[in-house]
Amino acid sequence: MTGAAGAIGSAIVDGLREQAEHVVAQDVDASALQQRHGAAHTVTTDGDLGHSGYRRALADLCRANTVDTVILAHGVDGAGPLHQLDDQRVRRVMGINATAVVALTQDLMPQLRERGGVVVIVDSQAGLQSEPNLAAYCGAKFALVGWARRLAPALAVDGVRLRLLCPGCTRTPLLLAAFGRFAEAAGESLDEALARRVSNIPVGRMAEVEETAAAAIYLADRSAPRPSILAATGGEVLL
Amino acid sequence: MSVMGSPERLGRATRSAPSSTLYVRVNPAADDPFKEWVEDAVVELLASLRGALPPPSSDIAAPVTVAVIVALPPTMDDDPWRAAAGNALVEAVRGIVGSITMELGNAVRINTIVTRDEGAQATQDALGFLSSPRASFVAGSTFDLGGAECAS
Repeated sequence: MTGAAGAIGSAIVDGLREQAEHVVAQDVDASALQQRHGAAHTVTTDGDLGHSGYRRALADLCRANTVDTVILAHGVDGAGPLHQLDDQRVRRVMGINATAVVALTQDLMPQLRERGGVVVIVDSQAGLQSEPNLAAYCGAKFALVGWARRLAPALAVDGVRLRLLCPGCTRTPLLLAAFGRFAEAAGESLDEALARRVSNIPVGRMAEVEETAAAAIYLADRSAPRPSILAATGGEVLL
Repeated sequence: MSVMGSPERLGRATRSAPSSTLYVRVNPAADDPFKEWVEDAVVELLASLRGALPPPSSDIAAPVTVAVIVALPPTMDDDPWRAAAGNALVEAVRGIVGSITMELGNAVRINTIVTRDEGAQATQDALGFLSSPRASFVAGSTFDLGGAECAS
């Protein structure tokens, strides 16, 4: 479980522990990770998924713990107008939100093949429908949708399931930070930006982190058929 | 992988309605296709677009017209990981072009052409169409020419 100290990641780990699963919890934030998940039945590891050496070490740790289900829920904020982006920021958004997902999946593939494992990627509705002031983020999230759509059938032949969750607006610090940038770009307050966004969601509200976590855990079931891409967007973006 | 503008096409530009073509080309022999074809390409593409497109506050008489041509390798389908990286590149560009279309509105008219042969007549036809007034209501779209299975 990557991004395990984040809002959605924490809720997923909590949900897995309720099912008595043994969890390897990863995050870049060591103290938050320990604070949230320093409990029994959880192995914690902190490090930057942008570093290939750490990714390989994480894969080794997963192998040692006979991991058969991988949930990739890490990510960095990528919001901002096109002309305020710079190469370094775009590189970070792409590297963490997309390339690290692909590289870690590749590193874990031998053991996933052995165990008939499943990979669940927590992507975004911004991977299905473009949004303004989000060019780099949409680039990363669309890339994962295209990658998974093409690769999933090939991995299924080897017994590995590759599934994507595309959540809509979920109340997380990452989302609020993104909306802060949207609001600034549009010259409005954060509350105005949030209200405008909620007005576009047919169910009339944002998702709670537990709801998005529940969708990820549903996709992580190894023993049952599941959608390869699940859009949990409150109806805002439909597949 | 390379993202580059086309000087001869930039030569079509007028002061009121400049147009440009950006080529996203990939190295078929890349050791790490996702990193090189997708991450590196997106970094370069967004840098090129920042240079080619006016900031929202710009006072322009007509939209800047940009065509992004994604040139995929002729052969990559034998390896599912390479094919997936190619598909990821197409989708990444689609997502970016859509985002910029929504962000910059009528200041820009940007579209994507996906091809495995950038010199093919169909590619040139699409480019000619997108550069013409006939396509003035076409914005944020993807013309899939031969990469159909890639963009599905």
